[in-house]
Amino acid sequence: MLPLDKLTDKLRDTLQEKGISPDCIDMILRMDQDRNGRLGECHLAFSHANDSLYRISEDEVETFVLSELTEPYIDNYATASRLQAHHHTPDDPPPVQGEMSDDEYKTLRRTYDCSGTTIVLGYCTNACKLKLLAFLSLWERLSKGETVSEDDAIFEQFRHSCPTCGRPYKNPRRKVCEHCTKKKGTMRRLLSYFTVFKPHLITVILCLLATTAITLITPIISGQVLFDQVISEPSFNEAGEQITGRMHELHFVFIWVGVLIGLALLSLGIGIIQHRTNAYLSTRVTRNMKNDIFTAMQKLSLSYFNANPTGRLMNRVNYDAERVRSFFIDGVPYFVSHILSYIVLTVILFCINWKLTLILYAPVIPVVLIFKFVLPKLWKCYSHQWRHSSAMNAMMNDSLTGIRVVKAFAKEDAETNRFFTYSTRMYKANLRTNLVSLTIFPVISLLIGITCHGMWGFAGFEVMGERMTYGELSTYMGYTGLIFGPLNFFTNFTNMVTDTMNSAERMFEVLDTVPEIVEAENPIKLDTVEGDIVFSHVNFHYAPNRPILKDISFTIHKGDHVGLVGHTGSGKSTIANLITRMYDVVSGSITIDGVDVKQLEMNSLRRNVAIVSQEVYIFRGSIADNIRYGRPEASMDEVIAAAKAANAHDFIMRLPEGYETNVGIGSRSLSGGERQRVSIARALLMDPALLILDEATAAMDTETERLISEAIERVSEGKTTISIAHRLSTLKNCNYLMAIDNGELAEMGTAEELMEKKGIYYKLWTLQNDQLRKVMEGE
Amino acid sequence: MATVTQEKKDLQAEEKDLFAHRISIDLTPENAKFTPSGGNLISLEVRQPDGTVEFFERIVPVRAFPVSSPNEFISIREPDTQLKGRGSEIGMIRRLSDFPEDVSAMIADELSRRYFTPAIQKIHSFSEKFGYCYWDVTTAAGRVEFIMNNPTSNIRTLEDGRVFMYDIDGNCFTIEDPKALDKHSYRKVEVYL
Repeated sequence: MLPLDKLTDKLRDTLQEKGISPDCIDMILRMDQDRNGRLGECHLAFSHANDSLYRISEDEVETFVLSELTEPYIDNYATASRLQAHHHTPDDPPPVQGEMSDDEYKTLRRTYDCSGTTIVLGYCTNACKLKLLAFLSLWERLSKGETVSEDDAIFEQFRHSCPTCGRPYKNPRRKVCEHCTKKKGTMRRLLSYFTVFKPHLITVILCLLATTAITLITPIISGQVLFDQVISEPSFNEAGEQITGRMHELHFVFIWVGVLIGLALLSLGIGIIQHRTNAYLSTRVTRNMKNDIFTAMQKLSLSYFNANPTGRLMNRVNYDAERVRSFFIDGVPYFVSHILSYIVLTVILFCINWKLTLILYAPVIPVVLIFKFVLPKLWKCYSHQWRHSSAMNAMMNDSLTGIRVVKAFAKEDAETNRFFTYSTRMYKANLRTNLVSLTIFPVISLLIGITCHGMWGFAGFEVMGERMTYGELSTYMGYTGLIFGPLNFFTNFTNMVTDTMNSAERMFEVLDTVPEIVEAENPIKLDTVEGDIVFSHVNFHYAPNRPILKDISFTIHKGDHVGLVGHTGSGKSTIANLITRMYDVVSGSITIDGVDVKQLEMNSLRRNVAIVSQEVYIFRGSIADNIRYGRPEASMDEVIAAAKAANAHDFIMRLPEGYETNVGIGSRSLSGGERQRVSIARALLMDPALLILDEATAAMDTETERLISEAIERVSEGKTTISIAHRLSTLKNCNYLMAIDNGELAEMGTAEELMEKKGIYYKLWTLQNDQLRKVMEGE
Repeated sequence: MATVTQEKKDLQAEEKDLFAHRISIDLTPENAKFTPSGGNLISLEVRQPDGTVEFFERIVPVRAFPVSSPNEFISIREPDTQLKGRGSEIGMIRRLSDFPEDVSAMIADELSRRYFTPAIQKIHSFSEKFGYCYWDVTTAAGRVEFIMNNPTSNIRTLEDGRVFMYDIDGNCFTIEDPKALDKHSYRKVEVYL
């Protein structure tokens, strides 16, 4: 049985009950909707040996004769799919080729396949789509009599398990093994960024402990020593022991005040050391983390960038690394020191006066409760505020980027009103946040205030009854701040931990994502590429429900100049993307000089194949830098030669700073045609063995286009060139042409041959020629 | 001279033939007859403005405004086939309710399968991990678990309060009225609304 979906025991029993041997089944497809389109289950069992397709829903088994079904296909729904096929009655047999030519037979066969009555085989949601597609492809192959083995390449996409430990991924789209990442532990992995700086880390911790100790000691010195023993008059308790005024002399005042000042200075000094080390540590840790994320990102495949908008990726680099840093720098150390000081404090205070301590601690519980239950409301407000602010930013970005259109349609007022709507929402969210926080915090201060006053009352009572000294009272006052200060921090700390873990996981997701396109283990290095390209049975799709290329095979020889024509979206650019291995083929193979591109070293490939695509990107920097982007070591002569070949030299020389003019975002902007020419120069400078021009001259006027195509013709003497174009005039230098239609290679041959065929090329040619003729005749 | 005009005429005729495409018409109960065919499919017989009658074994209804006007502006198209390639539009229905009840119900049924968007009635569990959300919900079409990537961009709230949620496979779920959910369920989605 092929490893598509599993033959469960229940299915096995059902089949056996109906007298069908489970051994004859080639594959099973599980569909997650029942026959009425509700969520449920329905299985299709395919048996080539029995010439049958069984549909099993609940205990019911329906049998379809495979040879009576033609053209099984998926009716693509918005969020679900329907599998349909054409059913033929036995008295409607398929055509026999006999004397017919291949082309004739093909047409006849297709007509037959699409006739008959349409029947529905089942429904499924997008969750089953990949398997459904594989099922159809296997159906076709098995029907042809092909034997498909269990380790066929088609099953590769369903193998969602970790290459290290072999466990299945919990989320098949995110190829990160939770087990393997867990093993190292997110926390420990994060810590490894810090432990590199061990001496600094230890310094920070020691400094923190020292400052905590000083903060704890200060109130005791000022209260019990300075106040009780120095300032107060000597007094004795009932047993005759002296309690206060043991150092009731003037010079002791100076000494102890001096000690207090000294401690303050020491604390300040230690604080400075700590913050300086912290600054050193945190900036370096953030830099390392950001470097790691960016490096990992650069290695990821294009499809990752298509799925993740740039803004989100930038957030990963900036925000997430920052979060993690702040947790370890501003979170963990303070957490440890606060916990320590709490324990020490509690012990000290209980020793001085346990009754007063109870009063002091009484409001801790309500305050913590307030933090616990009311603060989440505040977080929700913050999150609303954040969403509204990002919506407003998006709106502003949209409006300001499209300001030309706004002005052209005189929509300034409408845009302003739109902004008002957003800013009003924003202000409402802000107001709410403020109102909530303005309610919570005064209540907390009130609670603390009441406690303090209560304590004053009770303490006065105690002092007057001489059960307590003034000094002890002042120590207490000093400590109240230390008790309530960290409470907010503690209640926040759990949030901080979860946020940091989320950030860290997002960060590690980037670091751990396995790029879809990886260089082979022992890649083949090609120093010089001749430029022979062979496509054999190439199938490709970006999204599984939309096949882009279907079974494409062709050969391009060294030195050929090939033109690709076809409608928009027919798959022309995809061919270029596959040759440069921006994406990997789904099935089939592409070879360059007889070497599969998957086995080729990336560097050899990209150095020898240059592509000028429809989308041109000009980096910030000088024009010269942009031209030599692929080969920074190129000399000025070479840059100028490339620019001349791309017909860019002239316009560059007209710029005030020539080749050193700064271009890109925020600098002088180049026109579409100029940018295009710079990008052609960039490609030509690489002196590639294979040059792909993907609508490279579409943005230029006919004259410039001719100049460039002549220049390219000159420099590409003996090299392989592939031109993709809508405008057929662009392709007049091509040796031969290929017409791509709906993902299939429809026609191939010289321009004359294709005209004979009266197919797509002929259509395009007639259309373009006719328009020109109409212009000429003034119709 | 005559040959030139003749050639030109030929060319024009040929051009017409080459670029011939169907012209979409307004479908009304008067000119369009929808009938059920086997297995939940729909057939259509159309009388074109020039009087010719065309029969389509099966048609594909598509919504122009799936969110705001699901039962208006329905495009009726030919299916995509290997033989003819992409199907083109036969015509458009302005309002589904213009048609007799049995016909409109049949098309509405087909549309609801096509735009399969189960309404969430109860959220059993929700957890967020590694930027992915794992949901376990009961919908009008049965209980289902799904995974969602980046909830802030995949949960959309409309002006009228309806909520649309998209999972990683591109499946869509809806909450007709989040406030009508039970307290526990509501609390789980509240942050994203």
